[in-house]
Amino acid sequence: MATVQKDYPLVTTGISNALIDHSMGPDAFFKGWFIYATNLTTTIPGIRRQLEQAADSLELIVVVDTMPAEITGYADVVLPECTYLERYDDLRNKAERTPTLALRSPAFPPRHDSKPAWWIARELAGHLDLADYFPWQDYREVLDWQLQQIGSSLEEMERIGVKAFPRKTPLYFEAGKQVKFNTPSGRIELYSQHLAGTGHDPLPRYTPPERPPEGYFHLNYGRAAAHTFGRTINNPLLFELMPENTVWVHPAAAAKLAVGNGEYVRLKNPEGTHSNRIRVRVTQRIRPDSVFMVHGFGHTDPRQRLAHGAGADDSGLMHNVKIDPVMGGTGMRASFVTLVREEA
Amino acid sequence: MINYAMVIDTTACIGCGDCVVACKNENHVPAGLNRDWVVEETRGEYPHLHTEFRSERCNHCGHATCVTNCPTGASQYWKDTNIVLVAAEKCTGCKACIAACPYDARLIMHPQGYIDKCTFCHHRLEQGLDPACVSTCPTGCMYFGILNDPDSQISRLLRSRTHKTLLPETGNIPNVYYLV
Repeated sequence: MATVQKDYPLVTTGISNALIDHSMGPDAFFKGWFIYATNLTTTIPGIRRQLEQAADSLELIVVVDTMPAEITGYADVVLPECTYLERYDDLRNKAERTPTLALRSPAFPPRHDSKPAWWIARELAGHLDLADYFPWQDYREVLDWQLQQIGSSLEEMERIGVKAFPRKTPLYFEAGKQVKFNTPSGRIELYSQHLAGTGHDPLPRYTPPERPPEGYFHLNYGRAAAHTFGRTINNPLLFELMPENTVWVHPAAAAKLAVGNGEYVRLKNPEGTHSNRIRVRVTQRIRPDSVFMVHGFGHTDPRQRLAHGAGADDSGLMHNVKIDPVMGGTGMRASFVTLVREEA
Repeated sequence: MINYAMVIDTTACIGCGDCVVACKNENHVPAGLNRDWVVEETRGEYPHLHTEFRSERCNHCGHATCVTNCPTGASQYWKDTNIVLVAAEKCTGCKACIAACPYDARLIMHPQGYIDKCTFCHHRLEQGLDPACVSTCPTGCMYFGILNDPDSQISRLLRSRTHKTLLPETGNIPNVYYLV
């Protein structure tokens, strides 16, 4: 990890962009990918060209997913996983306001030839001479052992589902108490020693966002409460709640463009990329210089029978992705689009 | 008489639609039809906006115009309560109740040929359970109980919080309350 992320010494987790950059070409650092439940084509803007290069140079791409997605098309091997309603997962262990443990157990047996992630991992380990790391047959044994350590059991949790524990630490910092933070000074640092030490601006200055060209809008994206990323659009009940996304347009902008509520348009970015068709939603809930759309729509796999072609994909329109020089994170709200009316 | 009512805290609702999904699953509501739905209402001009999410359904009115206007008696009160049900075998599908309902709370037509609507999940109440929408709500913004019991949770909520009903001017005496 340190090799491919040496430009980001403060980062302790993987940076997707850096991993992809080091997966292309014959001398690439990475030789294979194991992609779990991530549809890379829509999670990382502009990745398709890189994906094609990486797919050519990587020796193996394995995708584990619950349903067909764009990324499964790049895979050498697809390992179909059953959905969260059909499998045991790790215990949910959250401190939060009231500390709780929650069991994640199947509601019904897996349909079709799909398997839980723990089964896939254990079987692969067996083929790789790593079976000693999996000294159990069924993940129920692991969960039961873990629960026995805190005086519960799988049997009890199957019955109650969620177990609450009394809080042992204060919910908030006590007034007047000296709290030590994980910084060189032990205090909240407005002037960051860490940043100064790595050659960054120790007191970050505001960088104004680029303004859209004439006739274009800032492209903002977000989530809808009904859907989880792009993964649930094809669920019949959730599809009914929200069968397609809309592009939110301020009334003043809609009047200027002569587009009406519910009308189909295509979005076009300055590089000439067009989106799938998408309905206009005229609303005061958006700035006049911006548009908004819910992420995760515009699926292209016809096997997702409901989601296929419904709504538009935001990530395909992102021509201007900013990389945070400190942490390597992507800023994906720096792109611009305009609305092109659909000829009736 | 037992007066059942629902109280929904609009300040906690996020409009996720889980109440809609819960109802469709619990009551086997056919695809494309709904017994409940979520309304998003925005007032004001950007950036001074107020947006309200409202989970809406039949108001199980104290004076239900759908009951008084039903020519066959299919629209009726359940036992000695304000819960309005449709007896499918008596319903001819004439749609007089749809015209009479100020809340547009009735399905156009169940595929089996009768007008369907929210039942406050009376089959669950008989088991001592809340309606499916209330028991599913992930934000806990929905409450159900007996309005003419002054000690019920909903009675206490309505005493302590500002609330409204929809179209009270119709005189239908709606029983879905919204905390605002």
